[in-house]
Amino acid sequence: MIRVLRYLKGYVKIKIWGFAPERFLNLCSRRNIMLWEIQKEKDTYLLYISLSGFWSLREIARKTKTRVVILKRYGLPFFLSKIRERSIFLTGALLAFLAWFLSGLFIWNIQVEGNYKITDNQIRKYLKTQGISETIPKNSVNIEELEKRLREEFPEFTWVSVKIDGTDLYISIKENDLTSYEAVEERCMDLWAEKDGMITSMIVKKGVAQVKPGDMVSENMLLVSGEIPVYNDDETIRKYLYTAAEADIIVKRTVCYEDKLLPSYIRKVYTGRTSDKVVCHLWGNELTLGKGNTYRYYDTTYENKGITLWKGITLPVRFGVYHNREYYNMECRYTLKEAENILSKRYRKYVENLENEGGSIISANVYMDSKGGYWTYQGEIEVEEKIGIQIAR
Amino acid sequence: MSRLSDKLMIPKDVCAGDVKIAITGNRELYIENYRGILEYTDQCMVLQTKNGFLKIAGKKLQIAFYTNEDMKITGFLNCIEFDKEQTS
Repeated sequence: MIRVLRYLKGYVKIKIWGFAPERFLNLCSRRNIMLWEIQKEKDTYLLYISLSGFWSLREIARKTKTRVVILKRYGLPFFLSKIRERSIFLTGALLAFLAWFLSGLFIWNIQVEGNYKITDNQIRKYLKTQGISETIPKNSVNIEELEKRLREEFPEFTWVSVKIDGTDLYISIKENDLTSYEAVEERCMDLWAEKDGMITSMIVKKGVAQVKPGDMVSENMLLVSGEIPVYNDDETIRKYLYTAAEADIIVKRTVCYEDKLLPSYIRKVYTGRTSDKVVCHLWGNELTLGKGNTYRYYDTTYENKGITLWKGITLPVRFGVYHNREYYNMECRYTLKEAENILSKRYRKYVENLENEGGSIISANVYMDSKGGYWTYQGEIEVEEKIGIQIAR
Repeated sequence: MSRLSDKLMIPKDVCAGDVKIAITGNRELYIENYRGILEYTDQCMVLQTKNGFLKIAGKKLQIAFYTNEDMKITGFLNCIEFDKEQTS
């Protein structure tokens, strides 16, 4: 606290020497002039004195025949006088502060997170229709109202949180995967076969089974009905209950696998020449700074460089750099080993997908061949897989 | 005066104007009731009090603050001496 007061009033570091410096110190204390950090250095004394005290030193110095020299000035009065000499700097600093303060009153960046089904663009489009976009004043955003409207507009959202942090508007979303199922559960749905095969196992969870294990089923055949009859005592149908049919039905079937690969392909050969294009995004508009490139074929990667002053304080100006790498196309031919590698990789991927969908391979007879100018990978695979898709009545 | 203040249990710094000293280890010395500095070097300091002289010897002696009422001396203190007459 004392330091702050000293700074506000101003103080100086002085050097004194002469006939009676001790008397000089005593006279200062008699006149209630505060002195501190007094130290002796050779024949001189170094000490700090308040600015107001310094002005009344003349008489004391004359009486004690000492000489006083200012070594350094500290405090606000000196700072202000220094600043007064640099009025342009002061004006610039004030304007910069004003610009910073004013820019802090607007939203410069909207961030959406947690959305999977609904894309950022869909949300941004909706926000625009509600008058919410970059560059709007912060106080024009009614957070609670916006959260409510987003939930109403997108029923998939089970939880929406909107918050303003600095100049950023954050929208956090949680989507419910079960919404669509819950919505359709009330409707009557049948389970239909989308593939041919022989049923090896069948567990019906909802609905009335129309087939049994051992049956051959073909595409577009009804497997489980969503219409459940309710019988009277005399076994006549009193009414029907409707549900979304559901069952785990596994069929065994033979799949003809065939994959083709062109023997030649186009390879990008990079020339090693690169060029960068700097762009400036100002309120959503892209301005190109400098020249573009004259390459015929090139790959482009984009690097975004937003200017964030502080956490959450983002400026409306963004810079980006397009890195372009030139290449030319060269026609190459696959060797037998390369072709086999690619085709077997694709086959493994196919098998992996099949297994991920709940199927399993019982036997496979796949071989590589060359036919009609193509490399081929073909054969028969015997698989067991789950079938049945729900279709509403 | 000393006896009277003893009887009345009045502090001597109030009654007789004796110097009052508070020492923290050998690094800090806080003094009240002095009249002035007679001599000051970084190894020795002589203060005038109402009843005599106070000599402080040490190394790197510095005055942290100095007002009409109190002062604080910092440094490495070796010895504090009371004299009726100024010896150095």
